[in-house]
Amino acid sequence: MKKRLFFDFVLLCAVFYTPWWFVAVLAFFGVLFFSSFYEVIVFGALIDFLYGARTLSAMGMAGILGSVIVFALATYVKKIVR
Amino acid sequence: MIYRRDNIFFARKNIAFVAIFSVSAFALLYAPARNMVTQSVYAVSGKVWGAGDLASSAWNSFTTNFRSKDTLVLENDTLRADVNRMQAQVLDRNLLYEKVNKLEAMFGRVQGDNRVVAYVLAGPGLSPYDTLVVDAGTDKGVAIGDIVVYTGSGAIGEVVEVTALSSKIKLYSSPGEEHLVNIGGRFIPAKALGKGMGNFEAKVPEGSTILVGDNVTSSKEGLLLGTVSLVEGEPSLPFARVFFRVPFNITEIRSVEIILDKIL
Repeated sequence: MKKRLFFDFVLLCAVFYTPWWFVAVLAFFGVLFFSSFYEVIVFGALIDFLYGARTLSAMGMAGILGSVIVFALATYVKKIVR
Repeated sequence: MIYRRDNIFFARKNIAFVAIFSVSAFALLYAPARNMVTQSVYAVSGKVWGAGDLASSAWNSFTTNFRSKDTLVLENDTLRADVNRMQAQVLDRNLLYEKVNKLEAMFGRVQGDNRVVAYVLAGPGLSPYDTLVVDAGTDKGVAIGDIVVYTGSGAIGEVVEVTALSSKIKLYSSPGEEHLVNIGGRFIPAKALGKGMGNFEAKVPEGSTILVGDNVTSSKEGLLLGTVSLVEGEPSLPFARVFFRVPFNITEIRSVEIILDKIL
C-alpha cells in the first residue's frame, strides 16, 4: 500500500512538472505493476482540468480518453506476460 | 449443472472502473461541473507550480557553486554581449514604433490596445493540447477570445478558458488549427494549418516568390505569426508547401502579453 501511495504521489508530481507523454509512460507502468490501478483515470481527468478546455480537440477530454487507452493496453500486456 | 457466463459489465472491479470513468467524464462534459472543478484545481495548482519554480531556482543556484570559474566568466561575457545586442535592438524597435505610429496617425488608422503581462505557469511541453497556462485571469480583465502576443508583436494564440487567477491559451499552432495568413513582402494569401509546438504549414500556388526568412502575418489582426523556414515545391505540382514557425523557442516562453479589448 505504501508503495502504491508513493507511486501515486510521483504520478501527481509528474502531471504538474513533466511532459504528458512521460505521465502516460509512468501510468502504463502503474497499471502494469499494481492491481486495479484505477487512479490512472483520475490522473487523466486532472490533465484535462489543468490543460484542456471544451473548445479544444476531443472536447478537452484527451487526458481521460488517453488514460482509458493506457489502462486497456497495460491490462492486455499484463495478460500476455502472465 | 448451471454455468454462469461472466458478464464483463457486472464484475465488481469493472463496476468501480466504470463508476470512476463516468463521474470524471460527467465532470468534464457538464460545463458548470467542469468550471467548478477547474476553479478548485487552479486554487491549488498555482502554488504547486510556484513551488516547482522555487525548487528549480534553488537547485540551479546550488549547482552553480560546482561550476568552474572559467565557465562562469565565459557565460558572463556571453550574457553581457547578449544584453548589449538586445539594448541596441530595443532602441531600434522604439524608433520603428514611433515611425509606425506617426504613419498610422497620418493615414487615420490609429491603433490602441490595453495589454496585461502574464507569467507562464505551464508551457506547451507539459500539455497534450498545445496550450499555455498563465497567471492572469478575470482579476486582470482577461476574457475568452483575447489575443496573446509574445515580445510585443508575435501573436501566439488566444484565450480559451478563464478562471479568477489564471487563463488557458490555445496556441495558433495547435494541430489542426486553420488560419488565414499573408506570406512575405508581397502578402501572398494562404490558409495555414497548425502542426504543433509553434510549427505551421501552408500551401501557395507554385511559382510564388517566397523565400526562407520571409515574415508571415495573420490576415485578420496583421500580427506576426512566424517566419518561413522551408519552401517545398515541384514545377510539376500546382502548389508549393510552405513551412513556417514562430521566431522563438515556444517551450522557453516565460511571460506573454494578453491584449484586452483590442481597438482596430
